[in-house]
Amino acid sequence: MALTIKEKRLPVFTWNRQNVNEADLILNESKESLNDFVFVIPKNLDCTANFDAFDFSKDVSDVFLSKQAKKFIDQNANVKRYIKIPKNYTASEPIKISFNPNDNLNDDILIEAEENSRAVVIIEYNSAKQIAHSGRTRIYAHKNAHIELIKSQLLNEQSNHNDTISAFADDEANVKIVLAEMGAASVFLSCSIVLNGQNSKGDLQLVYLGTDDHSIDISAKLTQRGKKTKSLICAKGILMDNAKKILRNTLDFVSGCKGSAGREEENVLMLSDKAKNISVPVLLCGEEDVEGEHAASSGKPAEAVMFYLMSRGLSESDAQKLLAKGAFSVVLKTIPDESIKNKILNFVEKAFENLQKEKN
Amino acid sequence: MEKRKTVIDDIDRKVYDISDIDDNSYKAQKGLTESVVREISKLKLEPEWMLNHRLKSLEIYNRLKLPNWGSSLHELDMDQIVTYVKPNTNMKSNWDEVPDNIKSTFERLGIPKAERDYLAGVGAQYDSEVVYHNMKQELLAQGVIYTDMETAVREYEDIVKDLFMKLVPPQDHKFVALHGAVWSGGSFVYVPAGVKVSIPIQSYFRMNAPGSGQFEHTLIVVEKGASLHFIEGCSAPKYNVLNLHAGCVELYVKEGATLRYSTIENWSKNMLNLNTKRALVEKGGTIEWVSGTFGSHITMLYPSSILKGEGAKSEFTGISFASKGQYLDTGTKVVHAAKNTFSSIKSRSISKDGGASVYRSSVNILPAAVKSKSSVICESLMIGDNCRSDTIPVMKIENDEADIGHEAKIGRISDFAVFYLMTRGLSEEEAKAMIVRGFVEPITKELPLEYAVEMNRLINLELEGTIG
Repeated sequence: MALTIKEKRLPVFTWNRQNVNEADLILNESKESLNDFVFVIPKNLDCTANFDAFDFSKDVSDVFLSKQAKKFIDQNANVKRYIKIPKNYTASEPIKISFNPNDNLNDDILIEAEENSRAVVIIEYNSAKQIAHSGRTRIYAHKNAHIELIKSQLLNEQSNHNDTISAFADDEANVKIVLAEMGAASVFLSCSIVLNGQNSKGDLQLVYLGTDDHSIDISAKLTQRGKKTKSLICAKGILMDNAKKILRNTLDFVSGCKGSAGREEENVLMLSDKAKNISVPVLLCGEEDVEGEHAASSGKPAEAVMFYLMSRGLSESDAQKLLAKGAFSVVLKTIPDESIKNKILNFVEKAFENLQKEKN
Repeated sequence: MEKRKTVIDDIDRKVYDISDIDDNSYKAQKGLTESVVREISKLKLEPEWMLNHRLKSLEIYNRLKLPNWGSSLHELDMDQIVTYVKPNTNMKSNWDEVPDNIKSTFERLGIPKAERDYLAGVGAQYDSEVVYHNMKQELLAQGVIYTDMETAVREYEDIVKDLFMKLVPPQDHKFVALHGAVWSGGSFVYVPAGVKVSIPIQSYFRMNAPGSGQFEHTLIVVEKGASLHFIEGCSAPKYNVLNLHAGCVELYVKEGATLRYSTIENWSKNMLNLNTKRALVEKGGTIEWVSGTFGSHITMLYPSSILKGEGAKSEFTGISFASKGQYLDTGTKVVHAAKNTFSSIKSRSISKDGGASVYRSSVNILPAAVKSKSSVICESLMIGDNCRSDTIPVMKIENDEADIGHEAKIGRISDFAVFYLMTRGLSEEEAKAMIVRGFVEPITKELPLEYAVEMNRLINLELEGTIG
């Protein structure tokens, strides 16, 4: 059974005719509890904890999730994990969760990085079959903790995928989130990072690929509350065929966050005259002593660049593919797991092969 | 040493806040009813189609809801607003015939002098009616029409009826519908093909009656290959009750024509300014918006351009200055509907001492708009505590052969930039003044010299502080 909820997608609304303020979130029930997934943790690290012991006062997922949606996810999660990185611990290897379900997946993951800890958590979503995925990942980074969350979504091209990621950072904490949205027919992604503590940092890196009739709806918000916080949102996208994408990035400088700085940038490579690209880069500022900036660009590969590459012997498709991979590399180079990087790049390869077949 | 803050004076409003006695020959009853609408139409001796339009607009107004975005308009109580105030005079074409109190108001505002020194025509509206209208003879000889809107409805019905509120229909939003029901005053300008009006024409709108509304309608048609610079100014004295401005501007820029539409808005801080402006640009035509927003309590203003013909262009240059008690929500919209169209948006805003400025925009590139380009640059300067500056742009691109670039910045006056200038021999005050003037310069340079001087005068600077 599916539940459709109209969710608020922008922190401040704009003209209703633009159809960017709200969007439908479709949540699907899952069957019984799922245990068939791979969970790899470094040796000698006991990082699992009692799910209900998490400090839910640090849960900031309500930026994009209504009460109704939260309740549904609470009641329908078929995977629940609480990963707790102990104080002063530095994980030598990433913690890795790999999903490859045959049926609907609703995962609810809590990640807590205690004071001075360092860890990388990688979560992969793969599926050969069509499934519906609803995920929620909540992060709490204590003082001076550095936590990096990498999510790779390579679901079957008919699948329905929605995911809500949120993070709360204390003083000196550093939260980095890398998201690769490559598969699924429908992507509904929300990411909220709250830099509550002084000198905390938030970094969101996003790559996405839209093909066929796929729909991509992404909302991200970085809220800077503490003094001298730093934020960065960097999004690189490729749109082909009849894909539709909307990306709303918000930087919010709350009154009191003196000395803070933030930047958001988005570049979209349009490779189809039928694709639709909507960007809403929002800057909200209630504090004088900050520096905020955003930049967005969209278009097909520059003619001069294409000419240069093709004059070196590449076909048009190969030249476009090279540029696409180059655009993604800015984000992908930060992923420490080579197998995941390769899977993402292979996905891009396959998309260009399909594109070439259609042209022929 | 404690860092002292940069201080920028509020706008100097002495001239604008002098009010006249509320001496009118007719004042509608408060509120918005069918009888008020019928009475306005009757007083204006309008054709039936215009009365029907007003009544239809009233019906739409009553049906539509207030917007669920932007500033709250809860302070607005239409039952307390007088929608029509007729001043105690008819329209004149000689300043000496205008009643002394009204004439002296416009003299204080510099309008007659501006007309003598550097304008090709002037229209002056006082409350709900145009009290003065004149144009240089040589323009008349070229076939240029510049008259008040009521005269245009009667005497140029063949042009006006087909265009009036077609570009901005009453269904657009609640305050356009309100305008459609109770509009009064405003200007009609028609420039024949090939005629280049080299000297600007200005309309000035002055509201005097407290608790009233002004709903002027401006309709401009610039025919093929013609050009015009139209300047719009507005002000009102400050009262303790709310005033409302819901004007409407419709601009038709035909093939190869150029229209520059400049506005310096300096409403008082009891004013709700909910204006709607839109231009339709044909093949090879150009619309240039120059917009300075300094006054009002709440402004929601987004001059829009529809680039309908191949090669059409839109340039928007705007500045807003929000001080305490002000919420200035401004920006622009552009629709690229044909190939090789071009749009450029440059917006600057200053917010100080609790003021809030919002930059809101939309750029739509439709599938047919191949090889189109759009560039958006938006910068905001914040001075002082408790102010806000928000940027909410939307870009929709529906073809792969369009190039879009957008950038925005928010911040304060850079200490490094001040230090650099001081090392070159400037005092701190001179350095900061130079930086702020440089910040507004892209807008002032688009205006005729006299208006640039006026705009700089509006932004009086008194700067102090240290960087140590």
